[in-house]
Amino acid sequence: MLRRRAGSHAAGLGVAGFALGVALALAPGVGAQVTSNVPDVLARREGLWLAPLPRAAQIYATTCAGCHGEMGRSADEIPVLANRVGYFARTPAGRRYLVEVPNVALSPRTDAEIALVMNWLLENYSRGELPRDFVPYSEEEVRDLRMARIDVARTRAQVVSDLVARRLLPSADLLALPATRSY
Amino acid sequence: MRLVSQSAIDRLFERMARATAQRTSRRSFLAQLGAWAAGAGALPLLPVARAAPAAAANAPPREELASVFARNAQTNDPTQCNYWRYCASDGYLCACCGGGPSTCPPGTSPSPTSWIGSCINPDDGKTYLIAYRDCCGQDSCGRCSCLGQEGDMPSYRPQLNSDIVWCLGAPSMVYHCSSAGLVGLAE
Amino acid sequence: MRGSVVATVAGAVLLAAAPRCPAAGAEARGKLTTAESPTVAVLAPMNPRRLFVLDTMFPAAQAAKTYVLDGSTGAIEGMFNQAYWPNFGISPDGTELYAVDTYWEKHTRGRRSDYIVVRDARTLDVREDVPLPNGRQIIVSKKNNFDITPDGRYGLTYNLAPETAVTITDLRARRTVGEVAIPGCALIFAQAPHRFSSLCADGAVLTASFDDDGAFTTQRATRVFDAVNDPAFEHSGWDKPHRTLYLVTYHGRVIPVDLDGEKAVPGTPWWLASEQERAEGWLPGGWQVSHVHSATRRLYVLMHQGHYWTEKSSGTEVWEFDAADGRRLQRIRLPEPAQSISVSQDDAPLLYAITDSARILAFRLDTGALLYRTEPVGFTPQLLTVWGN
Repeated sequence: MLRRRAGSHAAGLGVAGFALGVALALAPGVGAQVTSNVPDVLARREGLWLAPLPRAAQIYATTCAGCHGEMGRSADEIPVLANRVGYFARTPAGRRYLVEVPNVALSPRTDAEIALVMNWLLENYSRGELPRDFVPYSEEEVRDLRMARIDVARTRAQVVSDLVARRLLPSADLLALPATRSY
Repeated sequence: MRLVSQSAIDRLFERMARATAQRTSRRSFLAQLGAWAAGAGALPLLPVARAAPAAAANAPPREELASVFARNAQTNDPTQCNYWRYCASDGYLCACCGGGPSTCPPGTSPSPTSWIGSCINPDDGKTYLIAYRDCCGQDSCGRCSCLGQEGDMPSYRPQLNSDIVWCLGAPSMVYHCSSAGLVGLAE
Repeated sequence: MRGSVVATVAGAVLLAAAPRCPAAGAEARGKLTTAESPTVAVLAPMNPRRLFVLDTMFPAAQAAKTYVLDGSTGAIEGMFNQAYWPNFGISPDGTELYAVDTYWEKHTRGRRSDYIVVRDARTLDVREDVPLPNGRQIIVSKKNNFDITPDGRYGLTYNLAPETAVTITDLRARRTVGEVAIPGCALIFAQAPHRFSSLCADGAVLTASFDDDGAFTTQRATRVFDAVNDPAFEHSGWDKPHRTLYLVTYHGRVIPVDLDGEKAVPGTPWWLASEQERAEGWLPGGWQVSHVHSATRRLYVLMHQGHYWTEKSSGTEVWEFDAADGRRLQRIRLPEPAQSISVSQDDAPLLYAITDSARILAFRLDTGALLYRTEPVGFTPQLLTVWGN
């Protein structure tokens, strides 16, 4: 099946998948005599093995990426992280918000794991938006912040308008969430 | 025609790296791969190690695997419920519907959202992260219904729930089949 | 109960107008009169033995439907269509049925619409389609993604878009009045006219109180259960009349939670199975795993022998407990594995079960004896609903 799709989908595979799946899709003339297109079979044959994901990437993968996307961007109605999330770290209230937001605060992850993944996320997905003097979250800071139960929409709106007022965010549109769409 | 050769793979990875540098589409799978390893914006490091590690040879005996599913799993046939990645796959297998374990059948779209679980590959005894992503846009495929349950949590923990129709963000909320894409190797 | 389908209006047309056979070749006079004219059955008034079986039609999931059965005999009394991964509910006074449905304009595509479809409980005719403007979560049907306040006024539907929220619909005024944000929580257990509770990702139980305009306040009871290591089933035992939720956990514990006040109060947990039985692998599991007979406060749980991560495996037995003290009263062995159970809320209750072969089983609970086993009801019947709890 991979082979049949190769021509038109080489650039557009959206399924987070397996390197060899892409290898096949890009390979010119791969196919007719390949008796199996099962990624594991091909990987064994080629002696390819995956290197372990870094710890922070694993936490992001299992706790955040399902909705926010591997690249920090997915469905329109889900907040974009890539090249956006760092803006929040520009004010104390925004910095608090990132941990107070329910899916972080109520996460089953430990305070240390949350600090690890938040710092990794900010540094790797939105470094350009971080303030120059960004201080990474500590375990203790996360522990205290995640006790809060906030009104998400209101808090977010306040943080965003404050960022704009202080000229720390070029436009509120950058952090706007589209209205829920129906599909 | 020929089998995929080692040198072909080499060339492919070269091309993939170049392609990544050229493409900025958020849907680019290649860019996604790069992001996993190095973070967005950095040079892509494919999460692939070259030499087969000794782990494969030293795979623990099946009966000692922590996952009951993995003890009875196989790695050759993704049209069977006991294919190793399906330890938490709940629904119709895309591999039986014209797609593959990480390929959507024609006429459907992969959802940009998914839930991510983990399964043990019995070949090496290691734990891999698996993205359970639905293919959306046609009604139920209706073939190869499987009920993997490992790691499936109630819907108040949606990040780990397999009952949700994971088509949020897809062009359509209509569920067709379940895919199980490999995210990467966990510790 | 057998006579609960009441045939109405003219069944037979009198044949008296045909006095004699006309002579061969002669023209008959008058118009055609048929021996029978078509009629439509009307259901008897709601009763505790009526059983609603929601068939989610997994292989063609936009063709879900609800069958109406006479629970005393297993006879089918009627059926109506539902749509995509729907929910279903009965008005407390038994006069209306509510179907929570999602449609697309062109079957699988086009504009999406979500409604609470209000039906007359005796004719099954649609009285109104009440729009859910913000939609609803689409998930394999779970009973407590929809609940109705005990006074029958508000229908509450769960949504994840992606904020988690409960939409409040005034069923009397036939309009949606607002949304209650329940960050990090899901499921709806509506215990009072303006109140419901939900289970949360961190093991808390959230209780929301709302007014007629949709304004609300929430309170969280924290650490009621361990959402990581021993999560509570979504179909935990819900005793709505007594405002008590019996959380049944993956490991087989029961945590009673008093939902009477503005904040939930957990009680003392107990185990479903003895230490010996747990060693033998006895665990709760299935889809609609448990139910409560409210008048006697008895808890019924589908049990099977398995291991952790067999939480959706079908049950081979149903265990009956006195929910007040955790004493087991009865073990009912099922002739074939079942995924969902429910108990009629009358004084001589029956236990209903949906088997893996899509049949409905009914047992007398006074003796534990099997009363009947139906032919398959639909394709993938998944949820059972009875009136009164």
